[in-house]
Amino acid sequence: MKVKASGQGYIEHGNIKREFKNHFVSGGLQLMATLFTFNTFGSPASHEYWFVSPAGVGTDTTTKTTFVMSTLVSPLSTLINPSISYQHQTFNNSAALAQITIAYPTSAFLSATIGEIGINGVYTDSGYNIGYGLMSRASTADGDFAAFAYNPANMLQITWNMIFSWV
Amino acid sequence: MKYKDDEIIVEGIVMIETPYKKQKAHNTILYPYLNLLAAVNGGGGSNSYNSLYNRLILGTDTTTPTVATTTGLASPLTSTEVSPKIVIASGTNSWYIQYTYIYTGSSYFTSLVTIGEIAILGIDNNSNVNGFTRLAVADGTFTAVSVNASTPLSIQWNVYFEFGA
Repeated sequence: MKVKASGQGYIEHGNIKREFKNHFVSGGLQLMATLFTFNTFGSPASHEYWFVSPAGVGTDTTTKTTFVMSTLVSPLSTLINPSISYQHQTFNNSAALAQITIAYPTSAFLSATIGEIGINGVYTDSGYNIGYGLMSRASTADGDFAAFAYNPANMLQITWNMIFSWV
Repeated sequence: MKYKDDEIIVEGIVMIETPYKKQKAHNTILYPYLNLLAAVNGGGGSNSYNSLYNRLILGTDTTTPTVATTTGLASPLTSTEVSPKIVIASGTNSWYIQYTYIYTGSSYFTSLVTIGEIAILGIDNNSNVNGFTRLAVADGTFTAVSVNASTPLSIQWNVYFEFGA
């Protein structure tokens, strides 16, 4: 029996609400596989860890996600870092949810049109090597969500769900 | 080649080899392990720094079928655990991890033993969520193998991460 991981979420910005599906990239597969390279005999060292983090937001509205994409196409500079929360839920022994909520405060970016968002995977391995990269992207170009005007007066919240279930 | 990039498929394939027999079996990923994958990606409690590791456990049971929520072997062996060789590699639109466990000599099997179940116990140190997968003769997944101190046993667990077809 195989396991399937699918990604989806929603964006909230003032009165704007957008739902989206995501597109995984090769780096996402690699990062998930890297998670399995940690010490498998006894306890892992404390410096071996993995987590998901924001890859930011961007203004591109025309470039579709590709297998080899490793960053957003036109990322916006983040003026104020977001607060991040994580959640893990189980559903009747049939599915499980990993959720990351990214809340940007007001004035986190300059005014712009947002057409792409992403999440990164981050790890350090047994050799103290730090690795990170784009794991997944959602974009206007892929038809995942309609681009919207970012207003610095409003908060921006992105809720990203990864749902694990059987195929 | 077309692929669906909106989902990642995770699959386990196990190779079991003695000097007399080589077997290939699909590794059923049970619910606890599915849940573990979510836990390590979703923070699993208050700590977002997750650190998954896996242990291979052998057992002798040949009659107890696996159910989706199984969390332990029916008759686990207490033999010394083996430290695996780990390889990470990429394929076409995929990445995979290969764990190779080699049991040789009397450190592992002091007398004739029939291996009827094989498990991977996955542990996330920070969330304390445990995952579990099992291969069992009782499920018809593989044929029991008999080993002793002079019979080397090799078990290779391959975990594939690929896009949907």
